[in-house]
Amino acid sequence: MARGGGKEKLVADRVSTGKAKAHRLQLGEATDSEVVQASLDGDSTAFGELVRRYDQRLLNFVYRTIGDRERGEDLVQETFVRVYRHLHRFDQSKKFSTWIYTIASNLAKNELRNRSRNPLVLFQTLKKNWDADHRPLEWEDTQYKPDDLFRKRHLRAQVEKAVSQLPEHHRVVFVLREMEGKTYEEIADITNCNLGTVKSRLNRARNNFASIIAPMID
Amino acid sequence: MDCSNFVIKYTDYKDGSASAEVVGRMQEHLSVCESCRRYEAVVECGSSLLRSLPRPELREDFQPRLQHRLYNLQEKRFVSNLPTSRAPTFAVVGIAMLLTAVAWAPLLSSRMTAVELEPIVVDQAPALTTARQVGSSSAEMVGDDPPEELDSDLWHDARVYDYSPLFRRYENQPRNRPVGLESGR
Ligand SMILES: [Zn+2]
Repeated sequence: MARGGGKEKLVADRVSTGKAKAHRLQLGEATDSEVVQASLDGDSTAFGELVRRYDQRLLNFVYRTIGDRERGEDLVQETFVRVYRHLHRFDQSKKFSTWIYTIASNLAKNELRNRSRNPLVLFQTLKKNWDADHRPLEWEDTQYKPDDLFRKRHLRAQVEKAVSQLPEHHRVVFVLREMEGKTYEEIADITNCNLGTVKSRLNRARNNFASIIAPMID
Repeated sequence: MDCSNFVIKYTDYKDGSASAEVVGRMQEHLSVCESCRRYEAVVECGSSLLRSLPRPELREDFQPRLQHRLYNLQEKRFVSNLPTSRAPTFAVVGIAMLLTAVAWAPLLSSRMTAVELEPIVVDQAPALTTARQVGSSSAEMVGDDPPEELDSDLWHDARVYDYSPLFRRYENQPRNRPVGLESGR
């Protein structure tokens, strides 16, 4: 019984798999802009590369913004679907990362807006935003200064909580800067605000954040 | 510079966008103000803790769910791009799914454990009597028709059929590859 055909097929498969791997490696080393162009040119693996690059980062951003991991994952899915549908409209003179974060940020804002239609949530949100905007720039809680060091894990949990306590419009800017390392200009594009607003919100957010965590930090 | 001014200008200072003159005044204030030194320490410590927070993990079904949604989008695109075609819709949908499967396979396979299956080698006819007995014991399921005789010639040649992942079958024609014919016919 001849098995030569099987071997040939195996070799052909290996060559094909090898080519696919090499192609993936090549895509892995390409810039976002090159991967986007490859996807637009019909390279069917290029979109997968964009997903691989951004899925975790976007989940972190959306989760920190809306405070719900599962819903955050749904919104990241929706972000990729929108990118897929509108990639041909993307202005390639801009940064792809700014574009995809803008889409995710808008979806997160919509999510928070929909939630805030609940009258109780609306009242709490308005109050929190007003307090944050009108609180004098004092950061230290002089009433409470614990001597003991919190364990790191507990501290992390408190820090996460502190982020979630920031008012929405401060939180988005704060997460983009502190956790995603975006520049002021990128944040301004993503949030559709001017640079002055970005700086002011970021300063308020840092101040609020410092107020919340100061008692926990020796 | 007073403490309030320091806090107002702190973001520019921290992110390196303050002028040299402002930086000088900030540093001068820091050297004399314990409270603002603590403010800076708290913000720095908070920043470092934030960056050390574990990133949330995506659930395992994230990729398949996204893939499924993109299949649907591709199907719709195919259908809407063929307004005058008389091709049956199911054929168009089939092609779309096929192309997507091929397109996503490398990404998915890179995240999954690949299982290589050995070719199944059949070199003699199955024992029909046993199969029939099993079938006849559940007549209500099989129905009233007598079981069909298998064409015994079918089994005279040793044939090898390769079973491979679905997307590979479409990549490599033919799907089933008979070998060993030269020894018999
Ligand atoms: Zn001071």
